[in-house]
Amino acid sequence: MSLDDLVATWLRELEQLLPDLPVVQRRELLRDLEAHIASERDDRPGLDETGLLEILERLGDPQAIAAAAYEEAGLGQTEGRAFAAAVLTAATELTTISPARWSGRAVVITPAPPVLDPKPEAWRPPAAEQPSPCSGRAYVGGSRPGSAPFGLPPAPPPPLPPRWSGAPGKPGKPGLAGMPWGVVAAIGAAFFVVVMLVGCAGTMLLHTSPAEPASGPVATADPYAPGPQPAEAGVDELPIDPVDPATVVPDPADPETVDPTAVAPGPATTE
Amino acid sequence: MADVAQLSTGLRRGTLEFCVLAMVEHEDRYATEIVRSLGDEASLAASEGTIYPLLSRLRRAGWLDSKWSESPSGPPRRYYSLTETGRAALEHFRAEWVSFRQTVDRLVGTGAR
Repeated sequence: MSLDDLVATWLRELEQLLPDLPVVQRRELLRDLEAHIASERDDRPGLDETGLLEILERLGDPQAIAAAAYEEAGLGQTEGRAFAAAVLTAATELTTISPARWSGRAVVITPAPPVLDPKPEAWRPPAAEQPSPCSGRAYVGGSRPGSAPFGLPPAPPPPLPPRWSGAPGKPGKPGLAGMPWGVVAAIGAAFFVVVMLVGCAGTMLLHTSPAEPASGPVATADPYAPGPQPAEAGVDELPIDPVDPATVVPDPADPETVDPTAVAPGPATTE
Repeated sequence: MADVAQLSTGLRRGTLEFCVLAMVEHEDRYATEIVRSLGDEASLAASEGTIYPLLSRLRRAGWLDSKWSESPSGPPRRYYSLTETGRAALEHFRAEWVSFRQTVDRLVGTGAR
């Protein structure tokens, strides 16, 4: 990966962490950072990857920068945004950013010869807070979200229990896709109940004859109500609903109740 | 004490921006220069990248002005200058800060004995 690609990847990673930042501020921030990196690179002729990583390290963790950008924009760092950022970071590192790149960086940085260390020891965060060479220091405006650092792939997820991983279940309890038989039985029972409910509902619908006169008041001007069907009578010949139109309360949410042709007030009945 | 880590953040909050204003009080400075200087201050412990959103906010607030200028060598640079509003804010902070600092020194016992 060339140095330009490394910078582009870093900026892209940051940009993906700023979906909720106003576009003007997002572009401004990315342009400022790009100019910063360009300026730093220009000041260091013959810069190699290690030097570029040092520049990026001083800039800080993209997540810390994103948190600062949100806070300075008055948007704060919500839980949902933090979650989205974590997901985006994970997705980015799984797709856009090849693991080889990170492993390459780790190889370069992990030995950490003193000449590569850009900061005095006193600047370094505690060992527990040094997940990556580019984690930078804490954001001055707020708490830094704990997240996958820039520079190293995220920690592998904890192994799933064997019964959910698709691996064979425990000896003597093999189930569908490794699930225990109890779970399979519960799913089957639930499916059976749903099928029964659907069947009952269908039966009830079939027993409701369309020719059967409606019993009791029908408070709608349903064109499918007993009597001449609108399709046969036409719009101008819609029958008067047996229900007093005055009792029909127009419901704005129901277009049929506000439709003058559906309610068929006076003028329609005189024609 | 989990709050110890928040102490520095709390102390920096609301003061770092005036450090930025003071940096451009007498002469315009370009962004990388400002950011680099603040990043070199150990007690501020600010990563350079987090300074840019602060610069952006100060500019939107009208305390800083900025303009892009060609560099004699290298890429264009964004220069920041202090506006009159920013200058007034800085002066106000200085007056408040002295009083605030003296009060805290007296109460906490960190003043001259």
